[in-house]
Amino acid sequence: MATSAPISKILDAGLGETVIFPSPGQVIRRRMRRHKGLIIGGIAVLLTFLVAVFAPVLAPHDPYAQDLSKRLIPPFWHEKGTWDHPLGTDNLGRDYLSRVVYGCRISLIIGFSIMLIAVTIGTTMGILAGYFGGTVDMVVSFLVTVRLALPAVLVALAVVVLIGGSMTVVIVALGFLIWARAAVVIRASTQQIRSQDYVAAAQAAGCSTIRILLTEILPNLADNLVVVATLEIGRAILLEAALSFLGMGVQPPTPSWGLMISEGKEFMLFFPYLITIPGTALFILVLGMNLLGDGIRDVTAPEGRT
Amino acid sequence: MDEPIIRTVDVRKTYRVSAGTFKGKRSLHAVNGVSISVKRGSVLGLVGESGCGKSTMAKMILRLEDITGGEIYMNGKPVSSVSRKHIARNIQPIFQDPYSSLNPRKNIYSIITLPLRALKVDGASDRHKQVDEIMGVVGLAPRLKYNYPNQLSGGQRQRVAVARALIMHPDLVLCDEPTSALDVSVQSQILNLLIDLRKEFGLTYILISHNLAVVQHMASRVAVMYLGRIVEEADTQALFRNPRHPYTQALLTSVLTPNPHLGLPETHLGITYPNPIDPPPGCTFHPRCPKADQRCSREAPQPVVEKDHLVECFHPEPVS
Repeated sequence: MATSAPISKILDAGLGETVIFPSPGQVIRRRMRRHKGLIIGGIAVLLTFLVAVFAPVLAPHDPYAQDLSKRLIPPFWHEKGTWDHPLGTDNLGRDYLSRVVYGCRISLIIGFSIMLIAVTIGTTMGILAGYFGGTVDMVVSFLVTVRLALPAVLVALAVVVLIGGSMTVVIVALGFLIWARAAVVIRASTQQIRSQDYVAAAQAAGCSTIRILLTEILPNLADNLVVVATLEIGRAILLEAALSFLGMGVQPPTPSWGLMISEGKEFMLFFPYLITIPGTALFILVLGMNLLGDGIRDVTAPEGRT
Repeated sequence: MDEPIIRTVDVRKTYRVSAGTFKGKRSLHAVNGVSISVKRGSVLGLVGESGCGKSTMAKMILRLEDITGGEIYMNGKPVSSVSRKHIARNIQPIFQDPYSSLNPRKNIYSIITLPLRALKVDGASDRHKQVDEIMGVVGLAPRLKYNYPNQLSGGQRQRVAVARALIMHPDLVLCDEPTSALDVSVQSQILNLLIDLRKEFGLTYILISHNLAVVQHMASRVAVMYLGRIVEEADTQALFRNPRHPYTQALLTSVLTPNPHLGLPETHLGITYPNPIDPPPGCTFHPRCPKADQRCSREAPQPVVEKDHLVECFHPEPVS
């Protein structure tokens, strides 16, 4: 490992000895370059992100424009395919490539928003439970158990049935449903950090509790937070697709991948690409998110699993 | 005679611990009636085996743990009546393990200035000057200011911890095993640094250690703890020359010599340290004591002071 170690700093200990260290950033960058899963996942997520940002440039057509004279044109690799609609058209004659491209936006917006809500709730609960312990911990652990006993999709379905489906409802409902995993992870890490002497030192220095939570504990949770957040995005995207597939999520004509699969399922036997194309997109994005999350965990782990 | 910096009166700390599933909670007396006083400018060594309550004592003095009984007076005022910030201004700790006492996400500058920021001390503009000064005092090169703890050696880290403790110019520094996590070659550097700093700033130390050599080297007075009680307390010279309590005698004979042919010292202590949840009746030391008799297992001895030499034993060595 040390063969090509770039020497970043030469520290004089002031005691006569000279110590050579690669900086923490260099260590992490070196591990990242060697981690295949992280690179593949990172590229998949980055590409999806770029596609979402540049959707208007990349999409050849308006994803909402219907043209019933061009219904169900197969993709370009098929003998009847045309390059005007590289991935064909759906049963309403909408350009499938454009819908998949705009679907990136929907998936990422929903994934990030749900993750933000879930991780905010989960981190708050986890830090409080881990730091204060005792009754607070009991209450939070009880809430986590209750929440884990409820199947997320079922509760989300019930909420959507009661309130009506829209992107906002899906985001808020799922965000308030999938915080439990973040809470469990953050609680465990906080308990571990809390017993470190630097927390005692901060208390002895007269820091307020809120200051200790924000400046001593939270920064040391950052690695865990990034990992949990990444994995939660992947899960949130899948849940949204599931809800949309069941017709209880994002409503037509929004180009959500889950909804596209749902709309395509009636034509599955004769036009399988209607399902396989958005399914592949979903697969690549969620796999990429999971690889990225796992990779970040490996790279930032103190023992440096590679 | 001026008021001691710290005076504890019959301080107790009792934890409620679960004794096992379905057995309910039982009391663990970690500290069971400790009265000590620390004079300004002196060094009190607190020695004893692991689990005897030394560190709990330290945490209570720092108010990191609540006191369950008794009272601690700081400069004559009960600490329960003053704010934690007031205590922070006067008492600062140095912890055992410099790998766990420095936040790995902060650079040296912000670690050292933490007490200043926490207590909202004025003069943010000359904090850099203060930090440069204190880093010079503890022997850290100024260019380490923006390094992170994991780029420092153990000795350097402990110097950072010392600098953090001293930046507020506290009266009392509580050193909880300040050298036991360090390499032998670095230990003496840190000890000498602590001795120099005491002279320079007129500091008072409470030095918690199980290393008797360190205590003999630094302390002016020594208190020996056993199962949450002080069993002997005297000036360092008197205690090392004339240990009166059988436990102190055993501790002193347990010190290893550099000569391997002498073998392991015979302490007559046996191996078992009693379970603090279920302490022996009478004198808690009697199951391990070579001098114990019937009375020791029935009655608990009370502290007796003779020529400024406190001992809690029915069969002490006479004062020489």
